[in-house]
Amino acid sequence: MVEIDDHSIIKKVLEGDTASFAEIVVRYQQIIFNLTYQMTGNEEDARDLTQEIFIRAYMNLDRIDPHYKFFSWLYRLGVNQTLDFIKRRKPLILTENLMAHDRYAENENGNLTEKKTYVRKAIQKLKPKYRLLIVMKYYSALSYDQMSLITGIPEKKVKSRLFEARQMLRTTLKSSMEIL
Amino acid sequence: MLRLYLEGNLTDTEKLQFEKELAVNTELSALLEDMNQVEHLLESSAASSTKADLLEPIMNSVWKLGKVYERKQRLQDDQIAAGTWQKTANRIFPTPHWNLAWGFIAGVIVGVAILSFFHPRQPSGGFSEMDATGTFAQKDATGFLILPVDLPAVKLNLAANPLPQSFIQLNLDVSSEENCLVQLSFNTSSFQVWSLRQVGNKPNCQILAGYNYVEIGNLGQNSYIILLKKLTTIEEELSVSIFRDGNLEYNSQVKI
Repeated sequence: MVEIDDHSIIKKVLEGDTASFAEIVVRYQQIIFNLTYQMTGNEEDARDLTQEIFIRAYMNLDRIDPHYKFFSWLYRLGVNQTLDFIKRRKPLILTENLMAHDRYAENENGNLTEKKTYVRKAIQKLKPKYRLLIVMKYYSALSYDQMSLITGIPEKKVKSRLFEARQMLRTTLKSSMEIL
Repeated sequence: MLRLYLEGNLTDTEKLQFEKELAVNTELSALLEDMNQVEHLLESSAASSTKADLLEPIMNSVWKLGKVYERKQRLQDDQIAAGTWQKTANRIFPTPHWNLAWGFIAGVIVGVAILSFFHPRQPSGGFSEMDATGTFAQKDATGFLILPVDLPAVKLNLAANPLPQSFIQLNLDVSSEENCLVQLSFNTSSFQVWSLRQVGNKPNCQILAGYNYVEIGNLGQNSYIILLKKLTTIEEELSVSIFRDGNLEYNSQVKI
């Protein structure tokens, strides 16, 4: 079965076939949710943000440049919305929410190992500019090329900043979590 | 060099040189091992991500928004019709001086209408100002006018009614021909959002609430009721912003 490309779906939505938008949601909800979840560290906020991102995307479908990759446009919209959300949110609340969620994760969800929980906590401790690159690389599986396009940062800088982020993670995991 | 090695971007000679260094430098080899472990932990942590499962709520909101593009088309048709009216107006008032005069007269009429509408009314009883925990500049027992906004593309009126037990009801009327975003934001130590709804529940709006903001995506003429709980007994700031196409078009702070 041949998969219809994003721009053909968008064209259908713009012509009045609202239901076709579901295909876009099915395709990208997980990757956008991974972005919002790992960036905010709170599942509830991430769900609200993901919904908001898709609704904003729907409201602005007619502004998409057909020469530009829809996914990059959507992901960039997601990044902007998420960073804006993080800016508005107080750091104290971030910590509280994360801790609350982790307690839940540790107690209720046996799939999450202690190490993975530590990794998520360490990611949350990174500054948003470093956290974003870690999320893009590992949770969204984006290429350096895509990361550069979405963030507007040259590819070389993306690579070096990502390396710095991994070094920071190493320090955090090694000193406070003692898992390395 | 370690980064380039991990990325596989070293030349054969550089790689050989680096591996020689690794063999003798225990610190470097420990660092390399740690970095590989971090990489592995990140990869395995990402593999067990939580499922999104958001198709239904997203599509419900999308359906609620309606066929926005059809509405946009209708608005464009209306604008074309408005253009016809402009041509007629230009025939009646052919010079720029006439247009200025016409604008001035219209402004005076609108101003007088707004002032007369919000002129303080007699108290209707049933509510004591003693119950109010916040005050606005223009006090009125039935509702305090705090903010009329009149932009070319967006008209907004925000009125607040203090209620017993530190609750404040905000009545927000928004009229916009294109999508706009109205944001009310505040300090989390000042207010809490208790409820929000659209009067008449028309499909062309989107209401979102966070712990320190309320966002309303509006199209057309709509009214919203927002119930806030005030957390202090002093006047607190509420910021009102209007965005169009992602750009801030208006911002003002009011004290409640």
